[in-house]
Amino acid sequence: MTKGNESAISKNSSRMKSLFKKSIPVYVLLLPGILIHLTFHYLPIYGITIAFKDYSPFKGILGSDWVGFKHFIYFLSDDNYWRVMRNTIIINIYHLIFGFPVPILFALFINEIISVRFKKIIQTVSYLPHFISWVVAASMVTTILSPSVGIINSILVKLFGIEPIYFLSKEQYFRPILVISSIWKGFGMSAVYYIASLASIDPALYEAAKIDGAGRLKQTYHVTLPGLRNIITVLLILRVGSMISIGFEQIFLLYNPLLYNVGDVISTYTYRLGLEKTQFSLTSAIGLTQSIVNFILVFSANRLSRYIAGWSIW
Amino acid sequence: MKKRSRIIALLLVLATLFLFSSCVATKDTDSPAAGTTEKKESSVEGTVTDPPDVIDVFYQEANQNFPEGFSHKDNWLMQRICEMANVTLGEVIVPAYTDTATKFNIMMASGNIPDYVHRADVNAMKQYGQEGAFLPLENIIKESPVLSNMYNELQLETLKSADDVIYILRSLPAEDDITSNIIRHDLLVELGFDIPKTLDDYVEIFRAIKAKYPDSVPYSTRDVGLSGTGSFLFIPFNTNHSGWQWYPERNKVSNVFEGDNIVKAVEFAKALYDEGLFDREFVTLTAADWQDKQRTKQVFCFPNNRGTIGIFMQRYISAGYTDVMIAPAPFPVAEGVGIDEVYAAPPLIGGHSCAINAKTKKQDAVVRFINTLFSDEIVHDLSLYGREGIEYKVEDGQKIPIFPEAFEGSWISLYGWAYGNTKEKLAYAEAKYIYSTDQSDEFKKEYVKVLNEYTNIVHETMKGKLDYSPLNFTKPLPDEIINRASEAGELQRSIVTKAIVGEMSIEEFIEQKDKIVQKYEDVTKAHNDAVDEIRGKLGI
Repeated sequence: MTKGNESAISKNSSRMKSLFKKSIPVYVLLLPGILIHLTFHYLPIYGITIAFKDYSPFKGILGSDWVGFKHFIYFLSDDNYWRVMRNTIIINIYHLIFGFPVPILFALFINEIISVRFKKIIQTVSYLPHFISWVVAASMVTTILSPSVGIINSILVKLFGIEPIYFLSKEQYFRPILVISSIWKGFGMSAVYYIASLASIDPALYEAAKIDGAGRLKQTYHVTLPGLRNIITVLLILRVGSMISIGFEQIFLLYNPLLYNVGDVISTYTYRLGLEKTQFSLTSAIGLTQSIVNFILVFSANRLSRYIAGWSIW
Repeated sequence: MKKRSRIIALLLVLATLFLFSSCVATKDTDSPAAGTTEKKESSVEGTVTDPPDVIDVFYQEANQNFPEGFSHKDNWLMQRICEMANVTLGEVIVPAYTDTATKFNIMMASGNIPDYVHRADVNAMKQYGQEGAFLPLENIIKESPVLSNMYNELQLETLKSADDVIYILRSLPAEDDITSNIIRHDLLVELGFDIPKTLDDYVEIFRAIKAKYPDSVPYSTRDVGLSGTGSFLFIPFNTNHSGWQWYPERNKVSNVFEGDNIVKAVEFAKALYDEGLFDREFVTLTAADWQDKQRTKQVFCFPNNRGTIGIFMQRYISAGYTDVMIAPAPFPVAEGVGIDEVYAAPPLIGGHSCAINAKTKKQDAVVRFINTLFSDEIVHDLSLYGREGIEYKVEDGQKIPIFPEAFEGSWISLYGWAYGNTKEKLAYAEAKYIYSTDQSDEFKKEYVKVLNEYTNIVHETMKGKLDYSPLNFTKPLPDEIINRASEAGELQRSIVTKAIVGEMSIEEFIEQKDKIVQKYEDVTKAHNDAVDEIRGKLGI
């Protein structure tokens, strides 16, 4: 190594040290967040070993017997698991196809409203359902769809002369009910991301488009949507990354034995196994598998986005 | 700026350290519970006894009615128990009735188990005991003046886990607390019917109720899966909606889907459903909805044990329905189902159990607590009658309830679980509710007469005709079998429900049910192997 190189390395090194010293307060500011993240997200990863053991809370993680892949083999060869996996994926695909565009469209409509006051009222009303818990929302859905007192059946009977339909006992209606109620509850809050993104689009672009003769639709297509591209991509990637996960409360509160075939999903299945039958190791194995698949999906979606759109999260 | 950012950084670090220090939980079990006794003096020698030990308890309630502001930790009966046992309560966990299973499992999984645990799921308790959660109790039973006289040899056998060790204590058998069909006698009188004896009688009554009250729901069930209150649709057919049961006439355990009984039951239920006599919304009905319909929609009958009559009476009365008369009736029996009458198998032992945390540091205190709970004073006196001069008075040697205290204090039955409900105990509890209302004396006397009459009919018809079921003695089955049985149960409930509401034809139902019987033959075999083993061992 030449003297010149040595001197360059030592200059770099001292610059790094000096930079580090200057940044100490910043690192200290970061420290609580890192510690919390480590403590609550990384340290508990050790507990996933119970997926490979016959875990007993009384023997503890270390004291429980090691069984290897026994639980993985069990659930992968269990018909029930594939049924719930199928239901989870199908319901998520429905959410993706029907639920994902709704907040985007809503944000675009909101963006077109000229009256600021009216815009704010619409926005506020739209995300109020987000704050209603699923316990209340499910109760509302059950009542609305009730064959005896529900408004939907009242309309069907009085206006169309149709016999009341017991929606929540019929398989063909359950998934649409899930998706529609989920959209109603969540679209307002989800639209906030897009509305925020829309606000960051330079108005000069719209003026330029107008000068070039673009109408509202063309402006939306050529200015607005490209401006939303990044946020849509991020949210889509995250959405795809949770394709085999689904919220527990909504389905748990709305389903019943008649609907297990179409409505039983991974989260309700693991709830029954884990909390009602105390099969902690088995449900940990299922959870671990889910996490691995979700990771692969996020990674793949991110890669795909880079190839197709030229942009990705990382 | 640099100095300021350093100060902020330091404050943040301190805040984080403070946050982490509060995450280290220390259970302060030595702080005495509010309102419970602290130290007491010995009444004989005048010397000061040991200070009371602090113990934590988990209790399961049985859906009793608790008044507003009631405290499980701090009520007069719990104070008396603590005083007698020389303990004070630290943490008292009593989840809501419908949440008990989940909360119990979460608690056990956390490892943070109270010193004393009471739970009605005997198999779960045995299993946890075997896994190391609870103390072996053989020596404690032998040395306890209360417990050593409680159980005979056969009953001790029922306490054992699969490893032949006793980890739990169970309540004594409730021979008079028979599960029958609880019916609305007032509706019978109103519509001019006698006590129904056959299924046709019931259908006729349902139709009459529907004709008179078009909005009524003559029969309904809760909990979405036809469990418990739905058993009126199955018991008359010598079957059930799911699972396995002991058939004395077959001398074996069978899957309830074996044979035609379940088909007949489903056809009957479907006919009621199609005619609008069976609640069209039973699939999505919650327990609260069912209770509401029971009161407001002229629900005529619901199967349950006699001990719940008092609880239901209280609910009707609290809701203002003081003219309702409910009473137990024998189940009707369908033809060609293998039995001539529905009998009640004699209970060898009760369905409630309790245990001691294996890691407790207060074993002696918990044993004292258990001995007190099982004592005559608590079980036969205080938890039934209450306090003399407050909940009851004595007139001509008879205990007469005082109102409204006797009515409002009905929660005391929570602490009487250790011994089964006898006819006399049940009659007193029911009389409390009957005499609490503003109804006329004639009405009250008539109600008591009706209850006694119906109860006698139930006892004459259902009681004392069968031997003990060998399932009383079998050890818990292996996990794989229990999982398969559970899986089968879900399938069974699903197709029974579908067939009743018309989502599945009867032909398809028959095909599916036969497949289920075949698929889960291993579970049937496991049950019968366990029965054969225990019969061989005990010579029963």
